[in-house]
Formats: sequence, C-alpha cells, structure tokens
Amino acid sequence: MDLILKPRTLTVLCNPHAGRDEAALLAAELALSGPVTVLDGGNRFAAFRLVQHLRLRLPDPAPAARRVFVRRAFTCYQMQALLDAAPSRPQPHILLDLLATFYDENVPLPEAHRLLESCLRQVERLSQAGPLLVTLSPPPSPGRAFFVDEVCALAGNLYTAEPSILPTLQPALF
Amino acid sequence: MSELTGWLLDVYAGETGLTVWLLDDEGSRHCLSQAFSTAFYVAGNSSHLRAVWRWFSSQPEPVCLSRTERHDLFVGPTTVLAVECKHPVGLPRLFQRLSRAFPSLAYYDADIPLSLRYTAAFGVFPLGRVRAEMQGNSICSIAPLSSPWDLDPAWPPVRTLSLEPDCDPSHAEPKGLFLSYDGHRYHQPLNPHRALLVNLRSILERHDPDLLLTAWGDTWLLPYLLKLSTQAGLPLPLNRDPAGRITRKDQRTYYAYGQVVYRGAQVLLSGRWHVDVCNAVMYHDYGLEGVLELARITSLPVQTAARVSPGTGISSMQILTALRRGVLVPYHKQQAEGPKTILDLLHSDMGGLVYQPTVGLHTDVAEVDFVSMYPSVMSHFNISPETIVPGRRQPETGLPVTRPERGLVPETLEPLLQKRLALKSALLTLPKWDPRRKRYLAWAAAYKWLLVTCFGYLGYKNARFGRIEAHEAVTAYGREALLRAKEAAEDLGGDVLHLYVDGMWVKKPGWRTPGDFQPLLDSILERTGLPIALDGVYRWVAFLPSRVDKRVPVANRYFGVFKNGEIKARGIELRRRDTPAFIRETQQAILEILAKALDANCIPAVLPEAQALIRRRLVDLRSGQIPLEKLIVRQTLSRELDRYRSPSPAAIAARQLAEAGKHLRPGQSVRFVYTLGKPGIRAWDLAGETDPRTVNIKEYRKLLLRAVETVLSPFRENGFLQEGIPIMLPSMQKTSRTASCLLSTA
Amino acid sequence: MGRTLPTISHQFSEAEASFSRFRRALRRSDQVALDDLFASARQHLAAAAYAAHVLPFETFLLSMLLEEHKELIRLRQRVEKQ
Repeated sequence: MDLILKPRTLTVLCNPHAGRDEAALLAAELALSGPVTVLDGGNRFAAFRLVQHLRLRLPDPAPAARRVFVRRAFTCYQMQALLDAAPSRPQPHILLDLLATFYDENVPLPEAHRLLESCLRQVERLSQAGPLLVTLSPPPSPGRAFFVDEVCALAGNLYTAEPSILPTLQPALF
Repeated sequence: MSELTGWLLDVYAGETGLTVWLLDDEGSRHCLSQAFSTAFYVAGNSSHLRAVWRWFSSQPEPVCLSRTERHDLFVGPTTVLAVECKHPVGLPRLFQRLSRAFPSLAYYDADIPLSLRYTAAFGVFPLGRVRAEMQGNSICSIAPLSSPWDLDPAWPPVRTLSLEPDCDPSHAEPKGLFLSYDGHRYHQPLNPHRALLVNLRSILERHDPDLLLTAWGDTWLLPYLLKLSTQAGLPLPLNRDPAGRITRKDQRTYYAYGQVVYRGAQVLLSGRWHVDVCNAVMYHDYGLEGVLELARITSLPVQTAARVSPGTGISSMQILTALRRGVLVPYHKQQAEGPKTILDLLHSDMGGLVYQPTVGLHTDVAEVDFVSMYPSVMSHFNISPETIVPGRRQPETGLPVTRPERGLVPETLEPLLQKRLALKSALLTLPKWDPRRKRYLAWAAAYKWLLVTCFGYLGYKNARFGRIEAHEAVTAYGREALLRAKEAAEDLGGDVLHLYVDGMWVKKPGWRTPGDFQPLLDSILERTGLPIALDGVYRWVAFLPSRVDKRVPVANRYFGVFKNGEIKARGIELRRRDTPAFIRETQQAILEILAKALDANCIPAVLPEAQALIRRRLVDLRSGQIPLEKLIVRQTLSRELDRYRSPSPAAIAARQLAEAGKHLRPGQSVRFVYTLGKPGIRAWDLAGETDPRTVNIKEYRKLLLRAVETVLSPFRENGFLQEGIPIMLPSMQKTSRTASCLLSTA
Repeated sequence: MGRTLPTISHQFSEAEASFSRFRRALRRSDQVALDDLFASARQHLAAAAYAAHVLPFETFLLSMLLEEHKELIRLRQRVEKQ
C-alpha cells in the first residue's frame, strides 16, 4: 500500500496494528532525506523493521537511523506533554498509535476526552507546519470508539485497514 | 496543659481537625483531637488563577488562599496558588469539585494521605514513640522520641483479638469462629447469632483490642458480622472511635507492570486496626511484623500498610521526602520522554544482562551477588528522575550523566538500604534462639520488596516522580557493573558459568572456601563501587537446559547445595506457585537427600535413597494414599472468562465455579484437581468434596516424573545415575511407554 | 513501562523464522545441521543484546561463527593429542 503524505494535510491511517509496519517504512523513506520525529503512543515503534528498510536502500543504515527521533508516551498526559512540546517546523512527524493511551480505562472518559481535544488542537497545528501522519488502532471496547471518529474527522487523507488477500489454493493434483 | 509520652497509633480526619490515637506509657489509649490544616497548590497562568480565586468564594469550606512560590521537581521554582483547608476532612471533596471545574490546570499535593502530611509536619510516625502536650483532649504540640530507622525500637504493647472462621468460606460454609486474645483461644459457633454477637461485643468492650486480626475478614467475616448485627439490632463496637465510620471498599482488578492484579474488598475500622491475613498483599512474605514496620517507615496507616503493594509503600516514602524538602507532589503531571535516536533507543531499551549458563553439573561454584543492585546503583550514582541530564552520555563509558545535587529518590532510599544492611549483618550474628530473629527476618523481607519495587517505580507510567530515562539509566549502570564483575573474575583466572542481572556464578580451580573468593569480591567492589556479597559456595550446582530443547540453555533455572548444606533452587517445579504440594514436597525431599552428599563424588551413594523415595511416592499415588489437598493445582485467572480463545485449566475450573454461582475476577487464583474423563478438571471450591476415585492418577504421575527428571537429569548426564531409577527418559516423554518402563523396575 | 523493542530472544526467533523457507527446501540431514547452527548462536544472546546492533542478525551470524571456531579448536586439540 502506498502511503503519500501531502503537505498541509493530516494523513490518518487506521488498522489493527496502528500501522506499525507502514509507519516504519515511511519513517525509513523520510529519514533518507532528513530528520523525522516519531511520537509513539502505543509503545510499538518497530525500530528494527525501520533499520531493515534502510538497509535495503543503503549499505550503512546508521547515519539515516540517526536522523529518526523517537519519544514515547505511556499515559495520555505524557502524550499531551509531547504534543505541546513538538515544535512547528517543516520536519515530518509520525504520531504512532495516537489513541492507545487514551483507551486506558483507568483514565475516566471525560478526562481522556478533554485531553484528546487538547491534543487534537496540537495535531492540527503540526499538520499545518509539516508532513504529519497519525496512526490509530481500534478501541478495545466500544465506549471510546468515538475517539477514532474525532481524529478521522480532521483527516484530509484517510487510509483504513484492507483485508489481506488470501493466496489462491492450488487444486490437488492427486 | 498536660504531657503524655507513649506511642502514636493512628491519625485520621476528624470532624474539624484530626483525630489522633495515642497509647501512653501507663497503657491507656487516648482518642485526641488536633487542629491541623492541609494545603494543596494550583498552577496555571494568571487569568486562570484569578478565576480559581473567584470560584472559591462560592464554596462552603473555609479556606485560606495565597500566592506563593514552590519547587517543582523538574521545572524548578513555580508560582502557585496555595489553598489551605482548615478542616482536612473537607479537602478531598473540595479538590474534586475544583478539578472538575478547572480540569486543565496543574495540581500539586492534592491527594496525599493525611498520615504522611502529619509525619512531614511533626516528624512523628505510626507506632513511633512520641511526647505530646495537651490541653484537655486537644493536642497542642507533638514531637518524636524515636526514629523509624531504629533497629530495636521500644514496641507498643498492642492488644490483639484474632478471629478466624473454622474453614475457608470460599470452599464451604463455616460453622463457627476461632477467637484468640490474651492467651485464650476457643471456638465460638456462628449459631445462634445472638449469642455470637453478644459474646463478641463483650470481648471487644472488655479486651478493647488495638488490632483485629482476621482471616477472610475483608471478604467474608466482617461483612457477615455487620449484616448479622444490623439484622439482630445488636450494635457491634468494631470501631473504637464512636464518631468514626467503617470504611468499605469494593473489590477490584487492575493491570500493573503488565500483570493482572486482584484486590479483594476491604473493611477498614476507625480507632482500631483491622488486618485480614488473607487479603493483605504481602502478608505471606513478611507477616504482621512486616506490616507494622512498613507503617513505621512509610507513614501509611497500619490498615493501609497491610493492604497495599510495595509500590504504594515506596511512593509514600518518596512523597514524604518531597514534602520534607518542600518539593511539590504532582497530582497528574508526568514527565514525557526526551527525544532519542534509534541508536539511543537500541542501547537504552534493555533490561539487565541475562546470560545463558553453561548447562550441566558444576562443583565448587561461588555465587556472588550485588546487594540490592538497582537501589544501590540509584543511591551510589545519584540516579533520580530530576538528576538525569537527558541526551548526554559520559564519553568513555557511554553511561548516562547525572547532576551532582542529591536526588529525591536516592535520598529516599538511603536509610532503607542502610537499615537493610544492618538487619542482614544483625541476622548473621544473632544466635538462633534470639526472639528478635523472627522480627528481623520479616523486616528484611519487607525491605527487600520495597527495594525491588523502587526500581520499577522509577519508570512506572503512573509514578508521580517517574521518568523513563532514570529507569533506563539504572539498567545501564547495572549492565556495566555486571560486566565489570565478569572482567574481575576472568582477570583473576576464574571461569564465569552464569550471569544474571545482579548475580554471577564463578569457579576457579583451587578456590573452594568463601575466603578463597575474597580477592574477587574486593576487586569487584573496587571496579564498581557497589556493595557485593558472596551468597555462598556450592558443593555442586546444576544449570538446567530448556525442557523443550536440551541444547538451549535457560537462565534462572538451576538447583544446588551450598557447602553449609543449604539448598537453593530456581525455576524448577518446587518454586512454581502452581505446583501441587505432593510434587513440590517430593522434589524437595529428593533435593534434601542429594544434599546429604558431602560433595559431588558422594552423590552416587545417596541416589538409591532417592530412588526408594520416588518409588514409595508413586505407590502412594497409585494406591490413593495422597490426600487430595496435596494434589491441588493453583493457577491465576489471567482474563475474563469470555476472553479465552481456548480455555486454560484455570479458566475451565473458573467456569465451573461461575456455573455454581461463585464468580472469580481476573487476578484471582483458582484451585483445581485433574480428573478422569472430560473436561479433566474439577474446581476445588465446588460444593461437595471431590471424589478421590475420579482423580487422574496418570496425570499426576506424569507431573511427578517430570519433576523427578528435572532434578535427576544432570546426574544422569554425568554418569552418576544408576539403572533402575524410575525416570522419564526423553524418548518416552511423548509416548505412554513410561508405565511399562516402571513396571519392569518396580 | 519501556521495553518497546522486542527481546533478544524474540529477535532471534524472528531471524530463525525468516529462514524457514530456506530450511524447508534443504535435505533433512542439512536441516539438522542448520538447526545446530542456530542452537549454537543461542549461547551468546546476552552478548548480542548488549551489542544492540542495528542489524541483530549480523551478531547472530558472528555467534555461529564463534561456536564453529570453538569446535574447530576443540577438534584440533584432540587431533594433536593423538
């Protein structure tokens, strides 16, 4: 699947693994030409996959790998702090699994929602400054499903999970 | 004005100020009051704070507002609005309303337990000796006469009443209670209810216990007694404080550290402590002595100290340090991680070093361990959330850089580490009959848990002062220390058999006694700066391979005997919580027989005894001589029943219980027995006894032989094992030829 | 908290799995030898973890080579004894 980041547009990818592999591939491609920042809200940044992608393109992946910056958020409060601190620069950002920490049932729904709204204001700011990809995973329970809708409502470009194509079974010869 | 010396028993919010319970030197309990105001702080921009100020004028609680500057651990001096509540009892509700009205502001010191505030203000602590000056029933001033870090504090003469149902209420309906107090112990039937209530009331009034020690008190007994009391119209003075309430909390399941944790319901009293030994989290590890010591050093009230996990204990200690230092305790705010490159992430996102051991049997092996490695690292290298300089590495070692100012976390840990060391050396010198041994052992266990937890807490996402960089710095220093220990051993000509986070197994030809290894210890101390100790020298130790593939070594799966005859085992059946007692005891018995051999060469001489034991156990099993209780398997339910794709044995048993009306929550453990036919499991706590004839003997035999194989296989590899020992040979594990193998040797 | 990256055991299993097609197409006796190679590399997982190499498989290959060389030394010593 080809993911294209358009300038001044929020691109959102939603699939069961929060686009973990797609994000790694995209970050690798972006790192070939400049710095990339990944804000990981789901603790699932696929660092090795990214390096493997780089290796397919370059004999020494290390210099490009050094251009990828990661910051992890383990609570929605931390995610808010990360977004507040993200500078409005033309550098590309990937928000990996943005909603994961907001799904935490230990944070009351109104509070999580309030924080999400505050975060989405920052998301809009960042999408105007530089290329921005937000990836989402589906909610574990229906109660917070509307969080996904709120994020997708802001999207200029929306990609969702496509069912994997089953290989055609070869009929038996005997 | 009068003066009182004695002990502080309890502190909690009264109607206006505090209710303080003191036990004086004459043995009288006093319920006193004390004026005490509590404060919390709000940070935000000026217009927000002005709005907050205005909001307060519409609130009923009497508060005193002021602008002040306080210290945020990460940000430094911060202008905040101080909200001082004259009546502590009102603070929680007031704060709740305020934070709902202004959800996006930063709050500090908002949810600190009252007993911690009390300790921070006056230096007194639960069960500590105090001197108080009083005017009538009011305390005017109070001061400590001891320190929580005393090794031999003067202990208050606590009166205990112990109540225990005569059987496990989750298994069957109890018929009566065992009561113990003041040297008496007797059985009181539950019926007739009136007699029970009248008798209990009379004991509570006459004996007036400080501590109500129960079994299943939180989850069954006290709710039952309270219900009876209401139905009969006979009040039960479980509370000692006539104005106090009984606080009841619901059961809950939550997720922490990647695990499901279950907490039973709670019944908390006022003026008396209720401790339920079945619902006290770590009770089985450190008992009542541990709980009381925890209350002393964490300043948590005794009832809370009994029920919380060590994480809460450590958190309380950190909060106490913060309060004493004038550092703001954040309500929610957490530090987000600083940016890392992928290479940084690769180097820091690692735990302790875990090596693959040299599989097999080894003799004259020393086990050398860093003492409380991670806490020692934190203390020695001053690693604290606020002392880590993010993004900087030391040029030579690549280790994280820390600021020199003493960190909050190391300051909190220091007395804990010191007292633990003092306890350990006291235990080494105390004679076996000394009554203090039991207490010191309990305290050492409690301290061990606190220290083990404080590391995890450093990075824990919900920890107030947590920060992932600090957590990663600790593991980085830990790895470096372990590697230097390895180098020290190898530079001395030693052979390193295994390394595991904070421990090393080393042998060198010619080194047999503890004294021989002293140069190694000295060298490690010099190279790392961290305290290191010899756990012991093994006569022999066996490192086991993976059960699945014998070529694959597995860390932390071994057993051995020290020179002093003590057995140590890790990762084998007898250490697993789900192993039935029958198998655990048999494996233990085999190890004890093996421990009789004075050195590895004498092992062949003791093997026949082990063989005989195994045969006897198999015969007992086959002939139904093993009591059913010893066959119980105990597993934890890891998720809700409907979330199992293919049900585990625990889930099957839990489902049976659910059908019988007993619903278990994730995190609770389920007991069951393997039975014949389908589903092959019967929950232990179902109504009616399990029929011994339905027990799946074959399954237990298989489990037993597997456990036997675990402890005998290293000897077979070495040629020590003689013919005729009933063991499960690898080729037979997958088939049912075991039975015929046994029959031919029986 | 933390532990974003897969453990070294996981990385190793993935590396092993990535050669499953290759393994499948080998003769049975060659499969056994290949399994031996991978099993031998497991002896040095701790060092591979500590190395934190961007491409972990290169460390696993080096581990296999290391074990091969140790075996060579052992055999050489046995031959020289005779």
